[in-house]
Amino acid sequence: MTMVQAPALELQDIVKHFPGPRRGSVVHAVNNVSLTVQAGETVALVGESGSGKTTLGRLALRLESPTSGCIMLAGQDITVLSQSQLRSLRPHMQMVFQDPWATLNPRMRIRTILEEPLKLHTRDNASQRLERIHAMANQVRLGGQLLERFPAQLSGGQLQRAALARALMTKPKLVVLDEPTSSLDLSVRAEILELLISLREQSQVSFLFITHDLGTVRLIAKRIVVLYLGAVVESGPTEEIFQSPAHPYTRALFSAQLSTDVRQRRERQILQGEIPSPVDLPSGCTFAGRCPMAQPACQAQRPVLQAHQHRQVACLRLPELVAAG
Amino acid sequence: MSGAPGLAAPLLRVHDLHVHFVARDRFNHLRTARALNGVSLQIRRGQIFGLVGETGAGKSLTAHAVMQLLREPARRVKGEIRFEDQDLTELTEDAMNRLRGDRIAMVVQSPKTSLDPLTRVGEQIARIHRVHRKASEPQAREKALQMLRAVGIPDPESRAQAWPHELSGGMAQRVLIAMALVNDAQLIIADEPSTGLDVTVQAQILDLLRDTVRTRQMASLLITHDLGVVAQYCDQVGVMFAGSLVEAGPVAEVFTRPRHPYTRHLLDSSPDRIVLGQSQNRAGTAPDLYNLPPGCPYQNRCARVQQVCRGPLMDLPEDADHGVRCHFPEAA
Amino acid sequence: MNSPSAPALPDVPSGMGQLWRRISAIARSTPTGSIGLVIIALFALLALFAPWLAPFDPVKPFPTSVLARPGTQFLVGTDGNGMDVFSRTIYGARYAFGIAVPVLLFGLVVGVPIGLYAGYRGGWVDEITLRVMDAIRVFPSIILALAIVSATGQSLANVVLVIGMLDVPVFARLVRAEVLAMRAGGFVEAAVNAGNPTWRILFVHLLPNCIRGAMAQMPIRMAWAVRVSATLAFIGVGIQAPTPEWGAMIRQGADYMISGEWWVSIVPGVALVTLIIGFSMFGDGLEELLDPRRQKGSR
Repeated sequence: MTMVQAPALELQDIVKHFPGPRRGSVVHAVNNVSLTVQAGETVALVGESGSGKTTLGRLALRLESPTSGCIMLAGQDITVLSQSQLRSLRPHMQMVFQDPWATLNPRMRIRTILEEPLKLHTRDNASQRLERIHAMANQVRLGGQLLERFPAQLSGGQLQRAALARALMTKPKLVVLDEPTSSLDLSVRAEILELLISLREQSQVSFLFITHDLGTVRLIAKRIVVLYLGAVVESGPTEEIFQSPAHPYTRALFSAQLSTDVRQRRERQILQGEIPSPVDLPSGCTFAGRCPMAQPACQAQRPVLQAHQHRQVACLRLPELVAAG
Repeated sequence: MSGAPGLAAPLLRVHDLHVHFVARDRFNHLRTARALNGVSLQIRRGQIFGLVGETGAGKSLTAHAVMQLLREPARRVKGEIRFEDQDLTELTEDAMNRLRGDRIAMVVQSPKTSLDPLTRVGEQIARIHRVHRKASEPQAREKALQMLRAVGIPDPESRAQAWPHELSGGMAQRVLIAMALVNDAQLIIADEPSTGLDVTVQAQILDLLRDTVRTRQMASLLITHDLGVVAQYCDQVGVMFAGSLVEAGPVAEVFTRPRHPYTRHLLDSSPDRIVLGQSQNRAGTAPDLYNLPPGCPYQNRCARVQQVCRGPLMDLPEDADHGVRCHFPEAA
Repeated sequence: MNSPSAPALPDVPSGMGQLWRRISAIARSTPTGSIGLVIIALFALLALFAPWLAPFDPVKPFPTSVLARPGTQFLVGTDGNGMDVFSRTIYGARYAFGIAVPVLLFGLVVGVPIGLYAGYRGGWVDEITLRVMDAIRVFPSIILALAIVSATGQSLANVVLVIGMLDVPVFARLVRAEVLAMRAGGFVEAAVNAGNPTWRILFVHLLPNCIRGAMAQMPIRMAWAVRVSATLAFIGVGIQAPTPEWGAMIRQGADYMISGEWWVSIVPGVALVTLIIGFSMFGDGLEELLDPRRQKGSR
C-alpha cells in the first residue's frame, strides 16, 4: 500500500487585498487563486507586473496573511498561525529572493549566514554544523575560501548560490524562488538552473518558481500557472502549454518572447495598451480591454477555469479557441 | 563594420576608443582599470547597432563615452569619436551641449527615475525643444503634443499634463523616446531601453524604436544584454567582453555563424538555447579590469587558448563584413 | 544621467603585515582624524598615568605659595588655595574621561536598543518613542541638566546620568534612521524567513549594519559631554572645588583673571579646549572613513 504524500503546498481560493493609495480604495492583488504543488514537483508561476505572483509567493510562506482563503503546507493549515507559531515551521518552508545583493546580511560571512538556520532550528553542535555547511557548500559549488568571505566580495551567481544553500540547509519541503535568475548575467543563469535541478533530484524538495521569463520555465518546471491581474488565466503541463497556448494572454506572452534565432522573426501579436491598475478592476474578464478576441459578453461576466486537455483555462471563448487550434 | 564598400559615410564612427578608471585601493595605492580597450564601430543611417555583453563589459561606458559624459575617475585616454564627420572629442563642452538632446539623444533604463519628478511630462518635452531650437512656448507645446502622438501615447492632450510618477514604466519610456526625438535626433543611443518593462510592453517599445529609425532614416545604438532583442531588432551587432569588442557584423551572420568563442558561449546561454547538463554552462570568473592579462582578454576562459593568445591581439579589421578578434576563430 | 562608476577593486588578502599597512593607509588618508586620535591618546595617557606624571598631589595646598607664578617649582603656578595647577590639570584629564566614557556608554546602552526597536516595530511604538526622544532633545540641555542636578544632588554619578540621558535621543534617532533604511532591504525579511526571533533580528542582524551613524557621532558626543560637565561645574553645579575638574578650576580662576593671575583659568582652559578639539577632529575623520560612498571603491 503506497502512502500518498500530502502536497507540499496547497493554496485554496486565496484572496489578498491591500489598502489602496486613496482612502477606501483597494488593491486587488490576488483574486481567488487556487494552486497545488505536489511533493518533489516544480511549478512555475508566470506573469508580468501586477499579476500578483510575488504576493502569492509571499502568501505561500505566510510572510503576508491572506484576506481570505486557505494555505496548507504539507497538509498543515498555516493560514491563521501567528508569527511565533510559524517560526517553528520555517525550516520546512524557505524563500530565495530576487536580488541576491540585498538578501544576505552584508556584515556576516557566508559561513555564518549558512550556519544560522542550523543554530536556530537544530540541536547540532558546532562541529556537526560545520560538517553540514561544508557538505552544502560542496553541493552548490561554493569552494572553501568563499565561505569566509563577505557578500560584497562575491559575484551575483555566487551570492545566489549562497542564498540557495541557506534556503536548503534545513531540508525544507517547499522553496519559493522569486525571480532567482533575473538579475544575473546570461551565462550564470544556466549554472543556477542546473544547480536547482540537481538539488531537486537529490532532496525531493518542491519548488514554486516565480518568473516572467518563459525561457527558463521550460527547463525547470513540469507545470506552469499563468497569472494576469491576480487571477489564473491558464495552468497545466509546461510542454502542452508551450506547444499550443490556449488563452489569448498566454498566446500574447509567448509571442512576445524574443528568439535569438534570426530566422524566426515570427509574426508577433502585439498587445495594445497596458495592464490596467489592480485598484479598479474592470468587471467581467480583466483581460477584455486588451484581448484581440474580446466580445461584448466578455465584459459582462468573469470567466472561470474550465478543463481543456490536461489544463485549466479561464476564457469565455474557450470553445472557439479550441476549434481554431 | 562597414558593410559593402561605396556606401555613404557612417553616421557614427568610433575608432580605437580606450577608457581607463583610476581609483585608490584600500592601501591608498593608485589602481588603473582598463575599462575600454580599443573599441571601434560604425553605424549607418537606417541601422540599429546592438551592443551586447555582460555586466562590466563596457557597453554603457561606450555609450557614455560617445555622449562625452565621462567624468572622473573615468577618462578617455585614446580614440576618436566621429559623428556626422565631426570629432566629438575635440568639441567644447558648450558645443557638445548643443548636440546632446538635439542631434544625439540617449534613452536609458528605469525611465521613471530619469524624468524630472517636479515637472509635467509635456513640459519636459517642450522644454528641450525650446532650449535647443529657440521655439516659442506655443510652438513647443504643439511639438510636444505631436511627439506624444508619434510615440503612440493615447489622449496626448491630457497625458501631457501628467506627472512622471503617474505614468507606468512603458509610458515613461515612451516619453523619454519622445524627448529624444523632439529635435529630430539623428542618433539615438538606447541603453537597456526595454529591460525592466513587462514583456508585452517591451515589444511595443522596441517596435516603436525600429519604426522610428526606419522612417526617419536615423540610426540607433542599442545596448542590451538580451540577445533575443538583438536578434529581432538589430541590423548589426557588436559583442563586448572585458572592454573589448571581440566580434562584430550583421546580426544574421554573427548569430548563425558565431566565430568568437565568447559569442558562441553567450548564444548558448540564452534562455531559448540553453541545453542543460553541458560543461560549457560554467560561467567562469568575471574578468578583473584592474589586472587584465596581456593579449586576448578571454584567454583565461577559452577552451582554445594557445601561447599566441597571450601576445598582442589584432584589431577588428575595418573593412571586413564580419570581424572577429581571435587567433582561432571558428571557420567562416 | 549618472556617470558610470569605477569597477570594483579586486579582493586583497588580509593578514598581520597587511593590517599595519592598512592602518597606516587609513591614517594617511585622514590627517584630521589621525591628529585627533593622537590628541585623545595623549590625554588618555595623562589620565591613566596621572599619579606618576603629576609632580604634586593635586589637592595638597601649599599655603606659603598661594597664587605663585609659573616657575621652576610650580611649572604653571598655583591657584588660590596654593595647589599646583599643573598637577591639577593632569588629574583633570581623569575627570574628563571619567565623565565622557560612562556618559557615552549610558547613551549607547540605552539609546541604541531604543532606536533599533522603534525603527523595526514602526507603528505607534515608533511614534511614541519619537515624541519622547524629541521632547528630551528639544529641551535646552544645559538648563535641563542644571535643573536635574540641582534637584537630585551634586555628585559625579548624577552628572553622568543626566548628561547620559541627554545623549540617548541622539543615538536612538541615528540608529532608527538606519534601521528604517535597512528594513526595506531584503536581508531583514530573509532573517524573519529563516525563523529568527525578534531579539536576534535586532541585535545580530540589524545592529552591525545600523551602527555607522552612531559610531561617527561617538567622539563628538564625548566632546560634548566634557564640555557640558565643565560648563555645569563652571556655573557652580555638579563637581566643585577642590576637585581638580577643569570646569571647576576655570570657575575658581575666573576671579583672578583681572588681577593678573591668568594661569589658574587659562591652563585648564587650554586643556579643555584641546581635548574637545581632539574629539571633534577624530569624529570628523571617523565620519569620513565610515562614509559608505568611500567603501564602494574597494572590495
